[in-house]
Amino acid sequence: MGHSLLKWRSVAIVAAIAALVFAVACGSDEPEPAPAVDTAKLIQDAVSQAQSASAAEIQKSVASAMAAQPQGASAAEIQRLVSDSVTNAIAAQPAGLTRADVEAIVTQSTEGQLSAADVKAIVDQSVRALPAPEIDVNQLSSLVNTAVADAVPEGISADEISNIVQAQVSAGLSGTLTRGDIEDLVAQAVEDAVGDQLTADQVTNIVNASLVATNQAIEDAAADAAQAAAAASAAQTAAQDAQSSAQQAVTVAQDAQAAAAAEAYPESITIAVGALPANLVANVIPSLQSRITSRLIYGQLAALNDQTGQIEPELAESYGFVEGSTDTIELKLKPNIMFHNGEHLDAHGLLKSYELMMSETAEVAWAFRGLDDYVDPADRIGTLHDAVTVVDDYTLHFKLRHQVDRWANAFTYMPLPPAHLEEIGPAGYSEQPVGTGPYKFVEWERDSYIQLTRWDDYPGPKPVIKDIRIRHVPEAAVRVAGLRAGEFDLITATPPENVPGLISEGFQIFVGDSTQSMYIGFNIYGRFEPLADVRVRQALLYAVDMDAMYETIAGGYGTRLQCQIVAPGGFGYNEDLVGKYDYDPEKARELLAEAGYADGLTIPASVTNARYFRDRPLMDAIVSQWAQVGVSVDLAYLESSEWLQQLINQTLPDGVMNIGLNWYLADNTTSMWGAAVDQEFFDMRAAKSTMTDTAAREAEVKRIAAHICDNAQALHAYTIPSVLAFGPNMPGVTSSISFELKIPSE
Amino acid sequence: MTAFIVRRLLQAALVIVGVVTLVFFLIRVSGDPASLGVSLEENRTQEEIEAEYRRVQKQLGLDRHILIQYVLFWGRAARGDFGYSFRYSIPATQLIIDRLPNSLRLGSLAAAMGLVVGLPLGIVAALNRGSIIDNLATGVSVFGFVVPQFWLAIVLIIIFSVHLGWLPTSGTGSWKHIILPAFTLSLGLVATVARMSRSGMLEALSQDYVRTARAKGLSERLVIFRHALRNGSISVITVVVSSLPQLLGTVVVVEVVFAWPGVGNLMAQAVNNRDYPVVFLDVLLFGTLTVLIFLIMDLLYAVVDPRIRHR
Repeated sequence: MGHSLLKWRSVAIVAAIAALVFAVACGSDEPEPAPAVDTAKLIQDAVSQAQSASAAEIQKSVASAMAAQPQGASAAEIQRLVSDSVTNAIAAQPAGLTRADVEAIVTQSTEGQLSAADVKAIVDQSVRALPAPEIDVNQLSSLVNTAVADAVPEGISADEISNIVQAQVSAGLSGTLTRGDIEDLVAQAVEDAVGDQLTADQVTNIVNASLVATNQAIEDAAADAAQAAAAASAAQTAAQDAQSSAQQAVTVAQDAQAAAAAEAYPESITIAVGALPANLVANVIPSLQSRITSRLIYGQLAALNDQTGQIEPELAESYGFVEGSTDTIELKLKPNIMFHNGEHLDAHGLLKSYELMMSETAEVAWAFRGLDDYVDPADRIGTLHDAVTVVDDYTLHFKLRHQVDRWANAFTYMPLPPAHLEEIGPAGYSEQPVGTGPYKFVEWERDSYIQLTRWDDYPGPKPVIKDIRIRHVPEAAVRVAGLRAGEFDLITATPPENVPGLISEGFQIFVGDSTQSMYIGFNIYGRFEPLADVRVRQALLYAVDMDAMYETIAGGYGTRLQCQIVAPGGFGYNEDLVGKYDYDPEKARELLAEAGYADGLTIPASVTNARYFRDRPLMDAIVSQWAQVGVSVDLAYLESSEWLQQLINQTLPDGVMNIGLNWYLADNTTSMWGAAVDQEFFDMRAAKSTMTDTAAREAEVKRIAAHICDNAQALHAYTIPSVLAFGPNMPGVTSSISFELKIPSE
Repeated sequence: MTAFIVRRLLQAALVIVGVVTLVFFLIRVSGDPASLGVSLEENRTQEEIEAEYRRVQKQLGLDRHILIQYVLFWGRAARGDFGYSFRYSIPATQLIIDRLPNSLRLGSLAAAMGLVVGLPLGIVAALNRGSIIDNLATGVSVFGFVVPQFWLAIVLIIIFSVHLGWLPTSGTGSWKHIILPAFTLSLGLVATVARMSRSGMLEALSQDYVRTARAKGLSERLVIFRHALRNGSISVITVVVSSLPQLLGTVVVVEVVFAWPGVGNLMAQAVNNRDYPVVFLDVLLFGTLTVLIFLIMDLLYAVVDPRIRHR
């Protein structure tokens, strides 16, 4: 809007100035009144013929009209002529005139009486003109005085001209002109007037005409603005109305939904997921994708609480250090926990299930790595009874091998029924999984579907949906299509770009946050020399507009990280680090120059593709922004397992890599990938892991976060969102921060 | 004839061994399954991760020299033991056997559709050379050749499942589930068959015996069906049979998109998860099928054309 106003005004000013200049340029003789009717008619005819013509055609029409024009037209006529031609050109080209158009019109209209440079100057001045605070008459007066005094006219005195101009200006000026406008107008007028020895009357006319034209332009602009404002205000009102009615509709819908909720839920639903778990033995598969299934079947001794971000008892009644001890933890089980097959969970059974699983293959035993702070991973089964002892039917003691802060991690364990496990073994168990969760296993076809049904004896709140089929649909586009076709009731990992469309079609979207954070780690093993310089790392942080990437690549879902791996609200989140490396490419360039890389540098990088949420698009975007400050990246997209293998073997030659890390168990550790030479960091981390006082530990975690941020060890992006899409008949379905599905209960 | 068959069988076996050997070593270049068993998403030190890695490697038998692994692989394979799936911990053969019927169902329907549509299309086009039908057939062929199956599958899903609601998007169950994947799978075959049967038919029609048949005053129907089509069918059979392996390649893409629980889908999952035993067995299956198809074709030739037997 502002732009088009400016253009209109500018064009009008051009017209006025052009008229003025031309009149002066060719009007050295006493202007001989021409047959005005003829001229006006000629032009009108030409213009009306060209109503819908291009600027070029109008120019031609006007030019031919001009050619027919008798010598010595009046200034007013020429002014009108040029004005008309420009106005009509604009009318014929609603998209606006370019500077070139205006120049051409002025040149054409003045029949080459002005040099190209003159025209350019005129156009430049008018195009540059911007609204500015009003200038008072005294200022103008002195401006004019100066201009006039400089010009030193021969035919009239400087004072006379000054008076004339001042009078005209004070009489005619009502809008806002920039100082530049007036200056240019007057200077031009006076210069021309003086050069041609005009009379005072002529000068008056000239200034008068220019002011009238200018004021007209201002009034037009004001009218345009007023009109636009009126339209905008009308639109706003309409939008407000629409919004309020939409809100009403939403309220009504919500009420209706809530009222119908109990009956409205479908009896059975189909969920489409990108990947199914490879087996159904609780605890064995670490994949986050398996959590949807496993948490419906299994309960946990303790689970991460979404609200508090802490691990809290679930099947356990309580756990904590034994009074006066620093290494023994007492776990109390709830007394009434049953398995789907009727087995009863007690302390003996829990220990027995540990035993059974640990004597199995390494793969299965590995699922008990959460216990590795208690039992020796090299001989788990041999050290189990030293570490875990049964106190009574519902109480066990766990003895730590060393001081560690993450001792509660062991209790995220999902209990298995020992009698059933002993009977069929872990391999058979995968075919007949039994847990304590709200849903019982029915059947599964590997990589195809898993069928569950509600366990009616579940002691907790009963979920509203009876049967759940979890289907494997690897293609996101097909998941979305299936949802639209009504084949799936709910889909996971919905692509953010599909979300607006699905909402407009009436689907519900649940966007959940998670505790998995995306970040770009620097300086792995300290092998890549330039990244050892903190200025280079800081430059890499300043060069990236992560806010924009969060909005576009993550669709604004998840949570933007603030120079630390823990999202706001998490344990050890350090609020002092907000805005530490706001986007500042100039500063990035300066830092690089300081570090001796003014001519840029090339960093090798390894990047995963589709291991983490939109990892590749994120890295592509970052690389393009680094390129803008002169850092090019030698990018290798490694297949996920190859990347991990090289990481383990320490053969990644790279300076930079992308990572997604789960931080809820980690208390903030961008650690593994930090600078290996940073002893201070390792000392802090070691100190933290033996702290048992929560407040002290949180303070230490904050300190570590600040250290990582100050040293720019990583570029933190955002947490990975969980985006569910589902039909309107399932209100209240959500996902936890560990990607678990939460179904409302009756 | 027996010597010929034996010779061809030995050649086929050699090809299969070559393929498996190639895959055995190539898959090592692309990654290590042991690394997939290691979780990064937790608070662990470099040392812990390495220890974990060695443990998984040992468990999967990947800690020994690759040549020893190779020899062991053949030793077990000779006894019909292709190992346990790393991912599912059940025999790889079991996984393949479970899924093979699904793929055979899909593949045979697609092959039938390819023949039933492609063959008449090509013949009719040849008989009406230069006509609208011919141009139409050519158009269909070109479309079938150039259109990527992945894209076509999604478009078909959007049209027939989302907008019309006639067919399910994916999975198995009723007879409706097979239509879209079979159609997608068959399109390439339709294109090949139509194109080749057209040119085979055109060639036959230009032969002297057709002119002679016409000169004899035989009805056009007899000329086409008894003389031209019969003789032209040899090259058509060749084309049809030799384009069947093309289905095997396409089936991976089609099964993944339509979430069809067949060997192609299994292969894609196994490759993604570096599930070597399953990948080997799948490659072995695909390789054997391909070699078998060509073997059958060779034998058919030998039956049809005695000259080949004695070569």
